[in-house]
Amino acid sequence: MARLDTIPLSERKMMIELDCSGFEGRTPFVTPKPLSERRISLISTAALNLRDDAVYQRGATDYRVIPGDVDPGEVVMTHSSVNFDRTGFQADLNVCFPIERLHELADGGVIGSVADFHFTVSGAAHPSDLAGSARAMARTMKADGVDTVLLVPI
Amino acid sequence: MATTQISLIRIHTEKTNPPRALWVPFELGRPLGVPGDVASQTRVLMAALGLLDRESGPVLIDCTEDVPDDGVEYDEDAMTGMVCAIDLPKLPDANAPASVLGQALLGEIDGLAPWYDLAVRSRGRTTVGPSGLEIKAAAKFLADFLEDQSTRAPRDDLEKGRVLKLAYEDLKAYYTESIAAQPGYGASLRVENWLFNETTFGRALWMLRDICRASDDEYEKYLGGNSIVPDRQINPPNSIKGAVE
Repeated sequence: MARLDTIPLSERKMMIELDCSGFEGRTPFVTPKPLSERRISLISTAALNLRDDAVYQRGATDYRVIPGDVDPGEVVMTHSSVNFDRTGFQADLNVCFPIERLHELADGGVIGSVADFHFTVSGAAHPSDLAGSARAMARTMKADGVDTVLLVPI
Repeated sequence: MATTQISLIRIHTEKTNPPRALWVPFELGRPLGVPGDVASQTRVLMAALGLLDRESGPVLIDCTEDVPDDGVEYDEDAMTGMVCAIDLPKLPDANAPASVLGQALLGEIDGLAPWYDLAVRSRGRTTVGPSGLEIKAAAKFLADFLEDQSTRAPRDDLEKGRVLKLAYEDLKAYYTESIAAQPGYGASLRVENWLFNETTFGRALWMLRDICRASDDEYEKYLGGNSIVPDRQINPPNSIKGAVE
């Protein structure tokens, strides 16, 4: 489990001291609408990419696009960290990128629809260095009619 | 656009204070919990999406879904005590030179091949491949590097250190996908303990770590620092006193 006392001391120290500059009292909050009307896109920090994509480089601040109808067999991972489990991802993409679960919810009418485009970044970079990528992803999402984003860590 | 998120490290989410977050008690790498458990994953997903109904925020709640205890401890017995049912070639001596390790590595890959093929058939996919190398070519590059750090990378469109990283990560995926076809290897730590303590490849990775840590090359030094062997193999948590709450 990802409780701090199960994480090695060196990694734990880094996690506790990590700069987590946040919204600092200006947390944006969008007026709710019914879940059944929402069009949802995923953003993962797992450095997932399609098999033929360029691999993530060390310290990468760029992003990759995962199509909504992706074949899980086409998704690989090129994250630099060795300090998280990859066997779950190897067994089931949905354990870190729940694209099939989202489609099931859409098919059942629980959510409105699944976006045509989903995104990944490498979580090894500082979030502020990902601002350019975030803006580019947001532009594509808006063009795709996305109104809701599910952020998934690794 | 509204956002909701899954949180694995609660303290990070407390600090960043995003609009909506669901903290989950799962291990790093498994934010939705249990691989292949559609019902459980759906419950986690719905808990995260359910936060979208909140009228105001920020909101951070704890997920009530949990996973069964995998029963794997961080003690020394658990690190070395598993007996793998796959009949792999005998491990080389602890002080075997890199050349011997390289040959043994190729034999080990052959020994795992039926299980890797079975895993791929069973899952309908593999995550091996980002290096762009055949698995034995990846192993040969690793073995050559262990023997001679000036060896050329088998592809020249990336930094040599990056090719090396992709090659050994492909090998890790080949090994861990193979062993997962065996019963009793569902827990990530059990797989990891086997890989780093019971295989020739694991021995090669420990040797690679030593070489990279001593290297003058900046990229190799970076790899040796924290990108080859997981911290929990180097410093098992339960062996460390003074846990931070």
